[in-house]
Amino acid sequence: MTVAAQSPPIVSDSYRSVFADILSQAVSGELIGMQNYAAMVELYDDVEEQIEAVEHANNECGHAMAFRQAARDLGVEVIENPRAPYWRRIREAFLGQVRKGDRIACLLIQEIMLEAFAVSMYHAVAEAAVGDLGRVFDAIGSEEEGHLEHAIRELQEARHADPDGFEDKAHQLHNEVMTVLAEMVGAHDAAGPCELCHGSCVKDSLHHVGLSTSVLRGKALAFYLQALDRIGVRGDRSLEWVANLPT
Amino acid sequence: MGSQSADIDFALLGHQDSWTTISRIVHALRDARREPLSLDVLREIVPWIPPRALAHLTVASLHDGRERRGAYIDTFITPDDLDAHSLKRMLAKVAAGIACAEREGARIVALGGFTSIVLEGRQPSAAGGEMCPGTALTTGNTLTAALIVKGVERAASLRGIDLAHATLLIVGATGDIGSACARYLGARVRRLLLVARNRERLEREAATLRTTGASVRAVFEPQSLLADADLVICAASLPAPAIDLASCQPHAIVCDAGYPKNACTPWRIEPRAAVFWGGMAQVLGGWRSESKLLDAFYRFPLPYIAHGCMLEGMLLALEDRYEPFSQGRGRITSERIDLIWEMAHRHGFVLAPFFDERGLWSEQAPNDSRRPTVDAATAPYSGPVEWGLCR
Repeated sequence: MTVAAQSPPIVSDSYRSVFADILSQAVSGELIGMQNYAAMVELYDDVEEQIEAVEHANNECGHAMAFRQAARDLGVEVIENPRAPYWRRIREAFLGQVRKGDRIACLLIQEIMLEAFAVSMYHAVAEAAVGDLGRVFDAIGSEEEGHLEHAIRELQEARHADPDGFEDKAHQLHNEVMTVLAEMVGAHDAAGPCELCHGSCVKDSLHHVGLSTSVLRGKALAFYLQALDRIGVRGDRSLEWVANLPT
Repeated sequence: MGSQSADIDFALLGHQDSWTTISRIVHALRDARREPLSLDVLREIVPWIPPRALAHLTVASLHDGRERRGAYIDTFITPDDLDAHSLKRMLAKVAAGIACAEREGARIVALGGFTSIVLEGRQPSAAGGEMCPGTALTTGNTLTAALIVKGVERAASLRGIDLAHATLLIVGATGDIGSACARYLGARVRRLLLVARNRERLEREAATLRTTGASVRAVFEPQSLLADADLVICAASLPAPAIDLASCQPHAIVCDAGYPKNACTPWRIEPRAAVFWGGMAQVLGGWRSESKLLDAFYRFPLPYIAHGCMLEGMLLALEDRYEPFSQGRGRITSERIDLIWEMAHRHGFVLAPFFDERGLWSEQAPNDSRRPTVDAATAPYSGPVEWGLCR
């Protein structure tokens, strides 16, 4: 992922502060993605598919590096911590499915839940960021969408083969993972601090860059539901899942 | 790939007209042990929900027992969206709703409430054609108009008002439904009062009606004319109730067919005009659904009552007429109204008993007392529980 460099725009301290925290989340999330794809290698029998999983892991690593560079360009430090509380819970849920050897469950977590969250957040943040930083978020968001397209085909087939079994599994994973993501983007830190913000919670400062938790949450929700719709999950069922998320 | 269920015959595309109803839908899905969601939270979340099928249902004909399967698709256009500022957003939601109906395999889609805006003003050849090949779109306005005019005729008869000597006020007279009602009833009443916001369109409509021999007066706001009317049809596309009925004559009959409702009901003013929710039908053969969500938004005084715009989709499916029956503003003729009325009766779709938000009218015409053949007590869901059945 490369973005042609331009002169850095003049930005305020509050802008820098908010983006330091957003970039910390982005880098940590990408590192989780890298680890998840790497763990999926052993779930594929086919060597070509194993290679593809490694490539995905490498892409996620590249995204993390691009965000690191963006932070340096902005003159801020990022906190990189894939073991921060919320991310650790998501990673544990994922590893549970790896241990079961359930590739479809892993795809649902990584490609649908985490990517829906990442893609919608990156595109929303791209609109708020100025100059190269916005272009970095936008480009990475678009690359993540490519991952999603790839996974949807496999998940459609899995759902078609066993609609009820697939939806029951998706529901269980939704409860495990989307609950954590909903808490992360909730109006308040219901489950404690994320441990990735430099100071006070960034959610209270998002308005400095024209963002809000409600818009970020709304866009992630819309993207997630659309992804489930495309897989073929019944609309009333996925709505029921979402209606039970924490706010 | 990606189809959500076995193919269906019809889809009913709609939206809710109040946050109370939206809240009921969400909380019907939310675990009762969880903290209820506040209106502020709902306002933050619901606008982001993509259109989706909330319920599948099977309707039966009284004529020959044939059944057709369909889905109710909610666009999640919210009451806050129902103003001109949100037109682009609404159109995107309607397009997504139609795409959802296509994924479900619907052969005809009825566009309820504000969702019909995508067809109004279009040429017939464009209605549905390029938008969703293989799926017919209908606004449902012909059945709605039929239910309104037949309802006004029946209510007038019930209350002893002779149409030939009556003054009829139509609010929203240049809209698809309002103009159809004016054409149908214009020659049957003594005087027609037309109200609409678009001056040019209103004057054109009035001039056309005068050529048929109707006595017509056109004005741009309804309040000054309410006291002159024996009969009132409210069929305006308003984002919220705005017409104060306080100046109506006590003997007047008001058919409020707006969605959301047009009229603010003057509760404390007695005697008051008799108001009924127009454009509603009852399906005597009933319908079946396993969804608990229909209960959340079809909360009428009796079972199997729904809006005409929605029921037109069911009706056309029962007729095997997968065609854009109602398409675009100003094309509903009296002959088309009579035609769909005949179809409706063939399959057991009848004028709903008169009711408003307080419940059923205490008096009903004899044939209004018919009940669905499906036993409401044992049906999968029934009408509202908190409403009194009579007033």
